[in-house]
Amino acid sequence: MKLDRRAFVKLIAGGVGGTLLSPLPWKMADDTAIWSQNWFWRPSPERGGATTANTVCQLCPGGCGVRVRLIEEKRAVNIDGNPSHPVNQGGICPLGAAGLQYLYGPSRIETPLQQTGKRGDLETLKAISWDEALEILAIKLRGMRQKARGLVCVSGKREGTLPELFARFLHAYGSPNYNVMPAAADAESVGLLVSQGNSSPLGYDLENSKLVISFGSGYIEGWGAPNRMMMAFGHWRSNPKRDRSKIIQVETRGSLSASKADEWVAVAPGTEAALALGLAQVIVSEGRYDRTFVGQYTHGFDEFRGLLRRNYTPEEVAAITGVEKEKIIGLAREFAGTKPAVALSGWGQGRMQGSMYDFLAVQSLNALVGSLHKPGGVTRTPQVPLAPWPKVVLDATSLTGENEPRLDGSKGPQFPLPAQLFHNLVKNINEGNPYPAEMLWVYEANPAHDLADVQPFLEALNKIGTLVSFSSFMDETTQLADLVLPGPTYLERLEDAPIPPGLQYAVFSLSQPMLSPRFETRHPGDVLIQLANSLGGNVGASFPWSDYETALMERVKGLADVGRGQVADEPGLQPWKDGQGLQLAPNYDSFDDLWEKLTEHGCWFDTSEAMPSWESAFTTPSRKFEFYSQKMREVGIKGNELIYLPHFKPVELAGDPRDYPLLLMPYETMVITNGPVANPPCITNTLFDFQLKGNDSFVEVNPKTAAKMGLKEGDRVALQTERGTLEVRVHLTEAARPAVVFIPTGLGHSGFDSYIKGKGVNANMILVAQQDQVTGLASWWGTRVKISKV
Amino acid sequence: MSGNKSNGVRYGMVIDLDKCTGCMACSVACQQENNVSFREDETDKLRSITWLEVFYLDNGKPYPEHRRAYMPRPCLHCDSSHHPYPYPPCTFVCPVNATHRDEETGLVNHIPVRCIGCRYCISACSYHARYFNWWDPKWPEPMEKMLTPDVSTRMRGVVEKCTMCVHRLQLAKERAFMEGRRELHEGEYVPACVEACPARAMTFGNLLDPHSEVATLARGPHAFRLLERLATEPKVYYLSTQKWIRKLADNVM
Repeated sequence: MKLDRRAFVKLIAGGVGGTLLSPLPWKMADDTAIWSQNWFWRPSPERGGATTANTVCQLCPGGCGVRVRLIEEKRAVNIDGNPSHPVNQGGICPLGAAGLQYLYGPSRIETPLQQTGKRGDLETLKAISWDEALEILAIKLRGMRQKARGLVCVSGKREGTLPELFARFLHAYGSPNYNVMPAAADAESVGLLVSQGNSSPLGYDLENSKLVISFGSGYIEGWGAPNRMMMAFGHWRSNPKRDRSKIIQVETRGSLSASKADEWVAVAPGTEAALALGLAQVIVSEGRYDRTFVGQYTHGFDEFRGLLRRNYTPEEVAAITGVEKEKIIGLAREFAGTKPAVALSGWGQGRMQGSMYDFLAVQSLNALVGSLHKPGGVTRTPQVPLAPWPKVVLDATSLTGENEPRLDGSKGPQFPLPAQLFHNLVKNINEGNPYPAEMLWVYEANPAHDLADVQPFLEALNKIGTLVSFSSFMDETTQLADLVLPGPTYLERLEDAPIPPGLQYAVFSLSQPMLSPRFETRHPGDVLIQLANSLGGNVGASFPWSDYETALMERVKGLADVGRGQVADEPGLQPWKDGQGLQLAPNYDSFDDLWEKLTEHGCWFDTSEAMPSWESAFTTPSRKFEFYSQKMREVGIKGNELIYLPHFKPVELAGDPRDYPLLLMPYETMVITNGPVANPPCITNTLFDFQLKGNDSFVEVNPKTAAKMGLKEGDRVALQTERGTLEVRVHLTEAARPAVVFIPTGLGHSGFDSYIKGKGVNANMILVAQQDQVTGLASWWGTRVKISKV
Repeated sequence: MSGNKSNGVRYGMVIDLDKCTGCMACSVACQQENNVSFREDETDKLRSITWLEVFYLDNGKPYPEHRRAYMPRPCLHCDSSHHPYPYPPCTFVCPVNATHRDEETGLVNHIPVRCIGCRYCISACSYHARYFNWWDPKWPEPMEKMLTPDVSTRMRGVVEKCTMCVHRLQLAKERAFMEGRRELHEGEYVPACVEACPARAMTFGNLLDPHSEVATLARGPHAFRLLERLATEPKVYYLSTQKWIRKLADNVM
């Protein structure tokens, strides 16, 4: 056969057509794709039997129950909410859901470390054994026993047996200088002390409130126990329309809490308290207050009324806050006319501190409408009946230490009220006044990054002989440490989680090891017990337990002894539903049974402690709620009449307005952690690219303000305050009040891992904390700033 | 509901934007559940992978009338049924059948090993629900330990997207089968995002079951879907009493 041109073309065309009609090319393309994609370096997770176990999240004080999914009980692969835990009922926040990125994160510390060179040089931070590390510390502590008061401790946690053990160690050793990281709770506890006579933390019965007015609280952005608050929010929004709870947000910035509220009242920066007093004035002058409560259970109402009439008429408050007069009157009538209504205090996530008077102004609103210790109002968090440990054994040194003045000057002659004054501590360490700080212990806190107005603290570190960090992660403070004693993460250890902030019923939760520790870490409780034993004497005698577990069990026995409450073992528990004072039949029969069930389910709760009656609730000199504080007089605070009453005093912000024409205000969000740990990668993923882009973080500026300064979206600017300068980019948004620059906190880490290091700037570097002259407490919500294009 | 043939199961979701607190727990829970990879720089949104992305909305009004809202967007598992091509836009264009809608559940799946990375589906999707692996996924060494065996990791050069945690459906079905059941109870199968939501803003279930919570909510007066005029028939419904949010949902400016 002769192959002519025509036949050749036909053959080729037929061949091509035939091939294309056949599945061959498609199959081959597909196979090539599969083959070229399945490279061996693509991780292939190991399979195995899956189990779930309950524990409690410790990443914030919220105390949510979580379930951990384990493969062959070796690998943790997922964390979700425990539906049986009453605090979160199966919900989980982004941080909790990301917990495994901490457990397996690259910034974990694997062994004890000792700084052999210059502080902060990571090259010379050498791994040592636990025996060596404890020996080094014991020798130092023995050597400075005569200067025992120079041992200072900062705990990242406020409540729980671990912080208690640290406080106990200092007490036995002879130092009065136990501290926790500063927060709005400091101002709140002082405010409670002067108005109610005791500092037991507040519990809000929010699920039963019909009207909530929040004075700057980021109620869905991490205030209180975050999951509980978001659950309460969902609950408010689920109620049928007629019965719907209303939420009003008073805030300067158009935050998410402001947007999600039924009403947002935008106030001039730092004037929330003035608005609260304005509301109080209307309620009082129109006679809308709770006459029974005010008449029988309050002290100093006439003085308070006089002050309101003189200084806080709607006209005057409108001038201070920028809120219209009619609005103030309307809000007051609504607040007094809705039952039950409650007012929330504590700005942002509750880390940002206003003054004691800011708290008192808001709390006096609650008092006026009789919402104290009432369903749907605010009461005190019930006590968890844990058994006390035996008394600390004191020797001559620790007896002296007990009576030493605290280094921060709190409970001293100048500032007798507060339990601690963190910014004063920093100042006094810098000045070596009244005595030098010999050694600083930092327990799971990161003051070198998280402390507002952090630069003086960084300077103060140079004055401190030895810095010991008990962190699990290579955070900024740990990088500067001389000795690092790493603990296991919360997923690898036993620890209690006490009542979450703001909860109205009693909860005691237990985290337990889900896996054996990944590294040569040691439980901080065990470390303290071992250290005490090696010191011996009264310190050793104060720690009579073999390990932390024994110490913890000794306390938990108290729960079984009182025979109250239940282990939360079924989904859908809503302890707030039936109110307080409800006796639950215990679902355990002995301590062993209770411990076993606690270990399995993770939570004990109790509703039997009723809200205190108005007759019994106040332990002030008058046995009443004091608008006019006799307690302050009693402790010797002197000044004009005004200081004994809730009032509003504008804070004098740092910086000359001529040099620094704008105001810089920090803000907190759910997706940037502000605690001792930095953002894990999968939360950073959820940041918008107008919050963080590459390594640049953004500040929020109102478009009008920006236009005046010739700034456009994304422009790079320098933020300059008296403390220093940071370089950021500008995001224009109408959420920002004109003439105010809003900066997020929690970014700008220089520690941790490459997933967060160097991203954005740390606002704390340029914020300036201001001290209140009556209480000594610092506030840092605003600093004057200059903004210039770079 | 569209008239696709089905045996009475059409999984869908309702997201109540009034309840959503914008906490991002859904998005994070999704990443954990599905072994979604991350890189050192997660701020380049054209390159990062977020199966459940939360969008930022605002009403465009000046301070202090300004309001914002966050809108979680999983894959919407479009139920479009236009004659004669009853496919979601993405499956219609896939040249290698790597993505298709399971008509028994209504879920639109994506099979990474079949995907040839042409990204036609990405351009076809009206909701930016699909993501491309520009690089091989890499977890810092110890973090590989947290990968769940329920979902394979993907590879460089393929597309990925939300599956409504279809592996959870498999597991729930197997459990039901062990108990001698063929039908699942309501709530037996829910995706990780719905389970995580602390404000209980997300509801998941069978849209065809008129008594299910999800169907009841989807019928409500404030329910809407994104870009409804495209007739893609998404199976993810949103609820909002805010007019401006409902307007934005259909790009009506």
